[in-house]
Amino acid sequence: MRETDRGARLLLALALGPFALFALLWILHAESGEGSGGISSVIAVVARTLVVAGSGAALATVVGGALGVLVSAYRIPARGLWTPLLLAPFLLPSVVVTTAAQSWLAGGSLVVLVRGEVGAALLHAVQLAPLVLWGVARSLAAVPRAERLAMRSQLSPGRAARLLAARAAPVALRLGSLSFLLLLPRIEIPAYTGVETIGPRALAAFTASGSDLEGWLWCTVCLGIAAPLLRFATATIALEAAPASLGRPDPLAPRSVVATAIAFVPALLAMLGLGGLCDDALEEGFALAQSEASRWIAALGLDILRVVPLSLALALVGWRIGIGVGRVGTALAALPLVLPGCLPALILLEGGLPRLPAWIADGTIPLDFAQGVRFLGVAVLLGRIADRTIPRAERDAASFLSPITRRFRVLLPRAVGGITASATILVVLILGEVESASLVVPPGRLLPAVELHQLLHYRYDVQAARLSLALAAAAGILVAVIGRVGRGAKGAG
Amino acid sequence: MSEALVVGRLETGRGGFRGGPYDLHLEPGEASQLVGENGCGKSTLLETLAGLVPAFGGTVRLGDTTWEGPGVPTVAPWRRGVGVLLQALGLWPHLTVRGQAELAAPGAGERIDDLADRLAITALLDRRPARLSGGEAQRAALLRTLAPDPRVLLLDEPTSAQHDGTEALVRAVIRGELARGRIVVLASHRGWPGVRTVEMGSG
Repeated sequence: MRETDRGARLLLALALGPFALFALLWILHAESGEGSGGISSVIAVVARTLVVAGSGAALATVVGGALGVLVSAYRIPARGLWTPLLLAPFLLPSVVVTTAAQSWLAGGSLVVLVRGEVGAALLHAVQLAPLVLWGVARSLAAVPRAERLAMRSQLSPGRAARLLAARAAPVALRLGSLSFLLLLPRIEIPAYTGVETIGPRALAAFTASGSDLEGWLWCTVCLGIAAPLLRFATATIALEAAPASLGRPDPLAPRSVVATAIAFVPALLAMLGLGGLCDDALEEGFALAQSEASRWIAALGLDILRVVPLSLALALVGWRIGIGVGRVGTALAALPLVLPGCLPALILLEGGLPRLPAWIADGTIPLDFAQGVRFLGVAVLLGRIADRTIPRAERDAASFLSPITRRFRVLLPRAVGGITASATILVVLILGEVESASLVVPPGRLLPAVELHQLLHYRYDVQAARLSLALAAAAGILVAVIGRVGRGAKGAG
Repeated sequence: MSEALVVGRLETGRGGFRGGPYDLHLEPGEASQLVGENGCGKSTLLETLAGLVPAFGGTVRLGDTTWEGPGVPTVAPWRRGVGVLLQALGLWPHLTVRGQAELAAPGAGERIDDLADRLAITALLDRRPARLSGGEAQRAALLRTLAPDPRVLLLDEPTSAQHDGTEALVRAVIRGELARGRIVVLASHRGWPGVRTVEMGSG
């Protein structure tokens, strides 16, 4: 049987299976009398989730896609500054984006923009539009030079941009559907904007109300909604890259990632400065900051030592899975993405963690595992994209080498740029990850993301601003270092 | 048993294109030239013989080994012992010309030096593809194809980027391989005197 047929049947089962399971769970749920609210409440939550995630993803696709075409098609002044600034919101933890936006608009009549369904959708779009921008700019950078020259010489700039937009549309739509998948189970932004969607309901069911059955019910809903889109999101994207020597420079190559890091801190400063937070921090002086700083620097240092190897390993594993398992395997690896982020950690807590020896259970391995499972799908999708950007002729030529030589002497070096970008994104995602970290944080260990989450929750805005800056600076430096290593490796041979 | 390349009722295709059935029988030291209009399926047939494009039907055998056939598992490209020159070349940009050839044929330093000399690219061995002209890149790709000393050569337009002088070098090298008992199937718009021609239908 061809892979396509197998994939279609499996994904059909994945799409329909959860709804059957949902019906069964719902009957059990109703009989057991657990949880709160009737079917109308469930439908309202599902509808709200679809509206918030759908409109956020649609907005991110339109805005990110348009900006991606603009930065690729036109010679924009100070492009090196603008592109990283546009990418910055994706690199910031959700809580920082949300709180900064809310603080900024707190006193004005625009505060409605960051509350309720509209606010959740807008903030989702702000965070994920850069992902679409990145993908579109990367795919357009792969347009062969000859084709680009032909466009410039024979078409007006407007028509050339429209042609590029048409060319980028499949990538933008796929990244838009990936955005929807990422937004479906989100907890942080809906919680901060006061919207009850599936993510917060599932988390509450698993933790506060203690109704696991209701939690699993919400998970099946997520699966059922996401399965058809997984098929579309993992479909082969025809990114036939031009040879590096002939193509124009990739605007999102590691060198530009370094520029992102440089623009990263000012972007955060600007957002927090607008919220008035930096002023408060300066007024309080540096005495308190010094004692806090030493604690946070130690905590950040420890976390970085954990996160960097984890991200690199995850990026490599994701790449290996992405090139080896086809669409079906990619879709399966991406499944945790569409479930509430706390789920791997909860399963770990309910399952094996209590039975593990204390030296494992009290260490960072459970946390690494939970975050690794949660973000494996991102690594696999990015690894697959990194592989598909290698021109077909190069991959065909490598088919005559033994599999190990092919993978590690040709495909891996050619995908280093993509794997580095994947590792960089994973560093940022894992450093800012709260949902697993708050559940399986090792005893006595201070995790910056969890600390930041708590500071923001209890409205210690000044300390939160300082820690955000420290986190942003650390992430920026890491991105710069990984980018440099990636650039060096790309040129090796 | 003879080490002949035998193609029987082979059907190929890619995208919306379907071609065949094709029949070929080439003994060691024999060559066949595929000719036809653009889009008639020459490259697709070569890529099917190489194992890069799946066959829809028919058989392909080399000696007593069946590469493609009903009820027989398809032999992976790297196990076929073929050397393929792709029209798009597919040079790996992160490796030098020598690095590419050594990766394809580990331990074949002497043969690589000899072939490079015959293809007039000795001075280019330490260059990466970005610093090669179109004709030089094509000869570098041919060097990588020939370095492992494959039993069957599948060459797609091997002289398309060469001027008269270097085309003669390439032809001499390929004829040298034929004289050593290699089987050659090539697609070309330029005539190869003395080579059996297979006329393919229009696209």
